[in-house]
Amino acid sequence: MKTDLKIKIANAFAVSAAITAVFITGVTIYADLNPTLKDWLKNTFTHHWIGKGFLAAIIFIALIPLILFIYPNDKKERLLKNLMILFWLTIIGALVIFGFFVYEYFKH
Amino acid sequence: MSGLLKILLISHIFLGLAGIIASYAVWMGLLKKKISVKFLRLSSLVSLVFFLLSWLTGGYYYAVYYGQSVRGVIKSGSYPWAHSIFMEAKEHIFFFIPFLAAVIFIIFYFLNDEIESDGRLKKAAMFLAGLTTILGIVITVSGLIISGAVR
Repeated sequence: MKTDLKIKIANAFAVSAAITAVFITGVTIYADLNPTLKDWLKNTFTHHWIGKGFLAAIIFIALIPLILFIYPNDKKERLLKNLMILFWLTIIGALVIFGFFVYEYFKH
Repeated sequence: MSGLLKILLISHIFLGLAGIIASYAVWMGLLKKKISVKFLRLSSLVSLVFFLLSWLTGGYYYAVYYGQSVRGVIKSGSYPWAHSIFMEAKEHIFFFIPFLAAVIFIIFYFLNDEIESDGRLKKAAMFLAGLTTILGIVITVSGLIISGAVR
């Protein structure tokens, strides 16, 4: 396999994981604040947590071929940037989720 | 708790720990001057597989048993924050880990030559492996806090 294609695949995985990290953070907080969404997740997937995990996995898997077709990038510089974006979005997401539940606990 | 649920809970803990150890091995392996891509590729695959299995086993226990039998005990006990803060954060922050592990594996699977020659790519992979390991440890400690709150 050519190096260009290998970098395109790695880029697609990195971007997809970064978008999935944003989705996980968003759906965690939004479902907790919005009972309608939480109930929908519960009713559709038997448990809201299963629903969030299932949707995150689907988004991650579906975005990889989509990014490969619509946003293929064979630049190593872009890959390095995307990997660091994933790194920081994950840290921010984890801190936001933790901070949100601390806030919710002390608010109630 | 049924025998199956006990096995799943224990499996969840050991699979998660094995995933963290494999991820730590990737992190430490990348810190070496002369890296072994073969070892890193295998360790990253083991880490990904163990995290996925830990997700499935823990997820079944959580969805079937925890919510009905454990959550109420913690919330009405002396340490309700163990569930409201640590369990809530743990169960959602965990979601990040398998996707990070998948990206790390893909880097080693497709870019084995590049990672040996490009220090910047090696550094980026090291950051991601370190983050995966640290998140895994944080989640493990949260699990210990939650277990302690039930007693």
